Amino acid sequence: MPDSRSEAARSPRRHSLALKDVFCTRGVETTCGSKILKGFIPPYDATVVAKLRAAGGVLLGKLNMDEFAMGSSTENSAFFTTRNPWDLSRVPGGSSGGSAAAVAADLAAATLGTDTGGSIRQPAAFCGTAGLKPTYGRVSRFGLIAFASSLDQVGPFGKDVADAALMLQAIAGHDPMDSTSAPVPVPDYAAALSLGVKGLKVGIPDEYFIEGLDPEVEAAVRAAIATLEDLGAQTQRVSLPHTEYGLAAYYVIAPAEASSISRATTASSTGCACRGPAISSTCIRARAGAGFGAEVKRRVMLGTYALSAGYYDAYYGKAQKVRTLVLRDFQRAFELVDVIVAPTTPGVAFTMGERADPLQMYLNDVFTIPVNLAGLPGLSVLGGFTRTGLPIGLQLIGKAFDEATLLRTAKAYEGATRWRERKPELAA
Amino acid sequence: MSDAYEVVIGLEVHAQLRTRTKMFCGCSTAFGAPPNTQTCPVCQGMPGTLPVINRRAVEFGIKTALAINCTVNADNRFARKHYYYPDMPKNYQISQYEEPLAEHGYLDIEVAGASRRIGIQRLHLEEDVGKLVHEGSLETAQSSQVDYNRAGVPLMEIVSMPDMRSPRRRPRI
Repeated sequence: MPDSRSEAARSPRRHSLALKDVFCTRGVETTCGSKILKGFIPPYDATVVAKLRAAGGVLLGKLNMDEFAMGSSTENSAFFTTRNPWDLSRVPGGSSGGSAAAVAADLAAATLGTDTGGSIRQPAAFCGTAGLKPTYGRVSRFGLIAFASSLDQVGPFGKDVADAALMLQAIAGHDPMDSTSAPVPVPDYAAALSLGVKGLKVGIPDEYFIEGLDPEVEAAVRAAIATLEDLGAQTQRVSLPHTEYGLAAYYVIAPAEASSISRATTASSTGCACRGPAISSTCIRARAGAGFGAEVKRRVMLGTYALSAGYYDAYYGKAQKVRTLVLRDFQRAFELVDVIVAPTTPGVAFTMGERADPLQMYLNDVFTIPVNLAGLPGLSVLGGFTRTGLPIGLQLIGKAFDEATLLRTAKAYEGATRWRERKPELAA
Repeated sequence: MSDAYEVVIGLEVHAQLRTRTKMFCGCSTAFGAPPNTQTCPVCQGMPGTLPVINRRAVEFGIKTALAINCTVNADNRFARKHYYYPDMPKNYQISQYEEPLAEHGYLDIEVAGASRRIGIQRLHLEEDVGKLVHEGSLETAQSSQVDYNRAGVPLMEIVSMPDMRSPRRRPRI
């Protein structure tokens, strides 16, 4: 879509939207990518769904995802695999893989996803869309089937930065149904888009340019930094020294929180089908055993262990301390700069089945996880292509509740490049 | 009872707070309604729902805490207490463990004409569970039905210190 379209044409009213199947939709089956919720028809709308409906958005349907948002490739969906529109042998990323692929393939104007450790930004990078994870508390989580309640946040995918801004405008703000949604005023994001980056202080974190970073991704990010400098931004190196511990802390905290939520899910919704006197724990265990996939079971076991008596301080307590250190890193950096620029992922979209080892899969989120641990906003914007034509994601990280600066920076970068003119053959 | 043993009694009292609505949602707490007519996605523990605390329940808890000389904590923490039971829709009860509403109180009672001080360890807020209705007797029932009208009704739990030495010294609250 050309940039010349009028503001009126940019109203959600004109947009056909679709949702990751993690959001409760009244009267429409909501599975969270899991067999255990097959047949669950919520009697209520998630707050963000109600807001999009109220804004006149046309909801086309629900999108595939990793089961309970646990995964980085959408291969953990209990139902089917989703392919990357740029190369059908590759994954779209995850866990919001369906949301990214649908936008990249022109199946929807914009979509919603959720991001707990990178689940919006990583698929946005892999599929070449804009993807925004707002600040924790910026958008209501009511009606979002939780993965890890202290990390989850709802956010949009758009074909470009302006569409992501429009979607954020529609869903942001305090919700009385979510006590963790913050009573912070929501600025006019469309107005922020045109501000440019002249004089903006941009930080480049040393710890995000490390061994294992794909040289083509690094080259693209360095080129993007040069583009921002050309546009008048002042760049400087910053240090986020606890970055390398983020991943380990995340894989204690997120499974710990998930282990609680999953028990809740097994108990509710479709109800317990067992009969007879022994209707409690045996029945729930049987349902959970048959209903959950391998990755969900792995994380529930990890989390239950980390929270068990005698191990709580060693694992969960320690991980929470690391979380504080990661947040302090960012706070110190943001005393010096307005926005941080980094790669979204160490590499580009990998082939299906390539990462069978869970640890290899987890490493994919090394640059996105610290942002969730710190509760900050992060945005991935299309930052170029590899020689073989795969999209590369440029990540912008901002101060708490300062999504406007991310959008403004991304928009300026987008306007100075022509990457968006390329389309996957599928959608041409 | 042999003199070798000393009777030591502490009490854990669960009291319903007489709010109009439930602890974490807007459903009515009125008693005696037909089964499952006072429920919503939140108190049924549906996926995606979140709790919002009842202001009146906190106020009632604080009033009680002050009446029994407790220190009210400025920071409160709620936690999930996990266990499986069919009348508990979420498979966890939202309760307080660390940082309860109030702590370190006492209640003076009269025992045989003399005043005696019973320590109060803590007072915290939590939610009630639903109700199981067995078809037939508990032993022979082939099925049970669950009424969630009571699920989420506000409770306060008052825990005394083990300061009582005779059943006759139980305070009347």
